[in-house]
Amino acid sequence: MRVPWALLMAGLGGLATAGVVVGGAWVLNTTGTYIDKQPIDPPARVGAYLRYDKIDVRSSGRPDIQQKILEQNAKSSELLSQAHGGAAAVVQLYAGRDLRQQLSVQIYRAPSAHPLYVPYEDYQRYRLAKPTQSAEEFGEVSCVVRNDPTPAGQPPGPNGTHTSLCSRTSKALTVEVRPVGDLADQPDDVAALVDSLWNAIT
Amino acid sequence: MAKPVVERTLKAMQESTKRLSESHGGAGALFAHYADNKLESNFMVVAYRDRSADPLFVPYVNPDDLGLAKPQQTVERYGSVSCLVMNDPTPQGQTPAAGSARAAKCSRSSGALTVEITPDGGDHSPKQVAELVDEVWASVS
Repeated sequence: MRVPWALLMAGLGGLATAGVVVGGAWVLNTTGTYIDKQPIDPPARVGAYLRYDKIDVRSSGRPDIQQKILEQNAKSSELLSQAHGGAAAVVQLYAGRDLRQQLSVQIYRAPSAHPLYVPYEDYQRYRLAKPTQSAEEFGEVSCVVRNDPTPAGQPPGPNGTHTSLCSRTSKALTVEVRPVGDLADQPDDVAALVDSLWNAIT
Repeated sequence: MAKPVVERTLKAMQESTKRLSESHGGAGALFAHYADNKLESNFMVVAYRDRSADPLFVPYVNPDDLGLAKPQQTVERYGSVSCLVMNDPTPQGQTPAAGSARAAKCSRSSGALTVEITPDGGDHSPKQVAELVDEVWASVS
C-alpha cells in the first residue's frame, strides 16, 4: 500500500516516535523524591497499530521524514523525562499501515492526575445535552473527550464524541494516548489501547 | 457584575475545585477565576497540593523543518516558573516581533504543591504571567 508522505509530515508537528530509554533504577533526586529510571520498552504493536519505526514507508517517496520523526521523538522523550524529574520516559508514535490512524503515546514512570480534570461547564444554561468537554471513565482509564454540540433533549449523534486524551496512571507509571484520525471518535477503543500498552509495560 | 453572573461564576469555581481535588486523590485544591475591573483580562488560577510536571512538557519540534525562526510552542523558564508559550510564526532568518510570544499556561510545582495560571483573553507576556504565578504561590504555600 502506498503511504502518502503528507501523512508522514503530520508527525513533524509534534506527534511521536523512537523511544529514548533513560536510566537504570530508583534514585533520589534533589527534591527528595524517588525517581524510577527503570527503562521503558514500548511494544512493537498495540492493537492494529505499529510502532513508527516498524512501519515500512519506502513507498511514501519521503522515507527521510520517518527518520526525522524518530529523531524528534528521541528528543521529546528526553524532555518528557526532564518534566518528571528524570524518570524514565518515552514518546512514541504508533500508526496503522496507511498512517491514516495514529496514536501519539507518552509513557513515564511517575504519577499523574486521575481522573483527568476538566473544568465544570454549565451546559444546561446553553440548552445543550452535554458539556463541550467532559471526562469519561472506561475501567481504569480516564479520557477527556470533546462533544459536538447537541440541543438538550436530543440524543448525541453517532461519532459526536472525539477523544483528546486517554490516560491510565498509578503511583509509579502513567500511560497517555492522543489519537489522530477516525479512531478518536471511539473513546472506548482508545481506552482499550491504553490498557494494552499498560499491560505491555508494567 | 450582575448578581446572576457572579453566582454562576462562583458555582463554576466550586464545582471545578471539587473536580480538581478528585483528580489529585482528594488533595486540597482551588480553581479561581480572576479578572480586571473591565473584565478584559481574565485568568484561571488552579492550585492543588500535589506535584506535577516541571518544567512543562511540549514535544520537540525542529523549527528548521518548518521554515520558522522558533517552534510554535515552546517552554520558557522564569525562575521557578515554567511557561508554555505560543509563538506567532516568524519566517526563518527573521527576528520574532515584540509581543509575538504569549503565555498559554504558566506553572510552578514542588513535590507538594502546584500553582498554574491560564490566561483567558488579553495579551499577556509569559513573564507577566510567571510573576502572577509566583504571587499566588507566595500566598498559598
